[in-house]
Amino acid sequence: MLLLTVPVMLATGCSRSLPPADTLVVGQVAEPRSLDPHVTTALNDFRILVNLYEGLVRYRPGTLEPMPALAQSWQISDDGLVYRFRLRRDVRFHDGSAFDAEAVRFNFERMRDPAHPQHHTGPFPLAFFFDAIEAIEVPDRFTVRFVLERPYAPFLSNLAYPAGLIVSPAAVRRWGDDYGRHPSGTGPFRFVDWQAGQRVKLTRFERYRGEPAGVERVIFRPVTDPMTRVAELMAGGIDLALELSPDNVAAFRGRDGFRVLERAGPHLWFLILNQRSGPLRDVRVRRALSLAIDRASLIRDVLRDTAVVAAGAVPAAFDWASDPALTADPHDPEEARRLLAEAGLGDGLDLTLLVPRGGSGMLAPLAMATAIQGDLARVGVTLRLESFEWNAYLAKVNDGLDANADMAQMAWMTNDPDTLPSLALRCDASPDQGGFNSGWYCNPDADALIERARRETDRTARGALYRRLEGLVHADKPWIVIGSWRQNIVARAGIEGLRLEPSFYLLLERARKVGAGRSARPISSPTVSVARR
Amino acid sequence: MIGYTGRRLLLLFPVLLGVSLVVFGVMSLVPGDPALAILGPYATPERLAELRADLALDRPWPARFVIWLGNLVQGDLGRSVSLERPVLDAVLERLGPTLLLAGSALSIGTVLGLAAGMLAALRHNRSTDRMVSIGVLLGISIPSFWLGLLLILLFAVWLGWLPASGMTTVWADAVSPADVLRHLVLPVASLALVAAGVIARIGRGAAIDVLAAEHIVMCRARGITEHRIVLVHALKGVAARMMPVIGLQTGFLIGGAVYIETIFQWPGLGRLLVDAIAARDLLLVQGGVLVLATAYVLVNLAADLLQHALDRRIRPA
Repeated sequence: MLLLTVPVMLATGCSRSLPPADTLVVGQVAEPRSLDPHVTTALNDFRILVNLYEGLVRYRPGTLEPMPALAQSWQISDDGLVYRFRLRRDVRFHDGSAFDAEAVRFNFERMRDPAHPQHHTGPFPLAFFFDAIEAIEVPDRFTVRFVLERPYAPFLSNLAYPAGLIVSPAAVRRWGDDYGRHPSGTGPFRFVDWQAGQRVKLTRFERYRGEPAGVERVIFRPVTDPMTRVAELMAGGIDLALELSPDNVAAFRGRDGFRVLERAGPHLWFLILNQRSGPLRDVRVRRALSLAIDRASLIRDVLRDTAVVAAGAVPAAFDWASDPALTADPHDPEEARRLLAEAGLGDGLDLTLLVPRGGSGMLAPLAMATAIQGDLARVGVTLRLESFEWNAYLAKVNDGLDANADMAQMAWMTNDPDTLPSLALRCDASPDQGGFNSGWYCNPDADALIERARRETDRTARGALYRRLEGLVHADKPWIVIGSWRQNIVARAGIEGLRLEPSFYLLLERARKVGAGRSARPISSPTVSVARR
Repeated sequence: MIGYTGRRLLLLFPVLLGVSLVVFGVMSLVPGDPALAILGPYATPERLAELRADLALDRPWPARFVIWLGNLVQGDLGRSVSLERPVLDAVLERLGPTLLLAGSALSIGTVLGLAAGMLAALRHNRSTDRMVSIGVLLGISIPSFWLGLLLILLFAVWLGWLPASGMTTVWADAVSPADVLRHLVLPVASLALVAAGVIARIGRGAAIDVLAAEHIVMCRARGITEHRIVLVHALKGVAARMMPVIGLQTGFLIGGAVYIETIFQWPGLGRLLVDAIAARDLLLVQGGVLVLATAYVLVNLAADLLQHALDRRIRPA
């Protein structure tokens, strides 16, 4: 080994090389798929996109409430059907072309209209976010009007989602199908290059309409192996790492030379229960299972506090819609056994849980499944685990749970409290009708609440409807809700201005390195565990 | 010889046809599909059906295979659905790094392996032989991905002498050969040590045989120096015998490169293939496997030809 290493080090120098002070290197979990915000659905890609692009609106810092961005202001008609935006006049795209109302129209028509000359640059998986639009009108150069077919309250927050980021029409026309590798937006950073498997490099956009970015360059590096991500962070090859495993986050907390940022977001991890066949059709059995699971221990011991206990079907990050009075089911094996006996299952029962091996937002699926298996064993339930690779898992669960599967793990990250219930809890959202209601839950009262809430443009009234929905779902138990993920970033000391948003986006415009950044001290002992997730 | 080479090259076509048929079939049997991978969590059956039709996934796989084959003949490997770009571009871009990694590991593994094998044979049944054998056993037994992690921990994290992963320094403006060399050391070491172990083990046996062969005895009788006997005559014979083994090692190195490229974030074909399989990106898998299979067949052909060149008594069959 030394035979190989020593000559190379002598020839090339053997000092630890760290990124320069004006460059921020971010260790990501995967190579991005595309830098076209209308084409990709991956959170990993969103984290780059929100630094390159802006939408008409964005989330107010620290919240999930829309505030002006490329639009200076907006008005919503009383019937909730017309949204009129006044656009900023001082904005240019990175490629030099001007931002105006026609550019906005181009963006939405490219996604929605199969006859649009640039529609072939898709597919556009999130185009349905804007299904409610009937027409887009341009009364003057800096005004745009969206006319909706029906009142649709999530419209503004959908515009703040990456699917609503505005791309340069000139760049799309120029690059066509290759646009996703030559992105051009209006954000604080502009694109420099993308070396496959190695880096995406951005640099400060000098003509940015707002305050210029704090660092000259940002480099996103895909470091897919979680252990290598830890090693790179310790070796100084990256300044910050995203999505480390619970054990590694725990090891970095309070460690000299590093800072751990954590924040819960609009994420929900839950078990889907089969209400069409098997013993879980009985609500008493569903309640018993919920009471049998020790959520606090799951979050503390398995997830090492990288998540928080969630009480209801609306994540607490939607603070205006989630019910603060609702509490998660307590851990009560006694009561669980009593309920099971009452349901005639006092002698115990066998159930099957489907488990993915990984997957977006799934946290630690296998470890969580075995912990749940142990909890249920204590109330006489024998849980059989069936695990699948993520892609195969989605295909199976999205088809709906059949007689061979009683429960399945699932996690969603959404931008509006409407999304998850309307896609996964309505009667009409069953898998055979194109929805994600894989457990076949159906309660007309819940449907009515979901429908009313999505038409209600007054936020206070809308929030009240979601709180009622939460109560209903809590009683019916179509799911066993476990927790909400806390997104984590582990950064080397000396990186300031990092902010974790409830949206889970990584906004880097204010990030900068101060003094210590370069001289983070070398690591002398291997106390950070590098356990494979 | 030219006729033989031509025949072997012609054999490439049925081999590649077989390989791609198997890949196509297996990928079609695996649950999950690229339409689902593209649409992500919001994949509704209607959208899936639409996209499947666009991607021609609704047709039976033998029909798609024939279409793919027709395009291939025209040099078109199709478009990758997960990368949103032509398969050929993506594969060629990743081929260079893999060749560099596997080629360096093969060369270093061969040199180390032959040297260790020869040394053990020369000191047959003495303590050096036993030490080499223990070293070889370690080399063969240590999984390369585990070795890779230990090397990262030691040389990148604790000592800080070498970079932990990647092929170049991402914040550097230009790529320098010295920089790539620094990044190459650890992944090559993890791969080469295993290859060296296998080569040394078989090489030792071959060297014992060769050293006892008549022409070596003849050389000694003619008073040729021991150095010359070992380094020229014996080594040539051992190398000739070892060529097929070395050729076969290419297969293990390509397989090992899949792990090693993942651990070291090496931007090569192995990593591309892993991602492509997870995304059910059939055409990309197909393109990558095709290139790797071609490389494997060519390296083995080269090994056979080299064997013949080193020892004229061995006629390629």
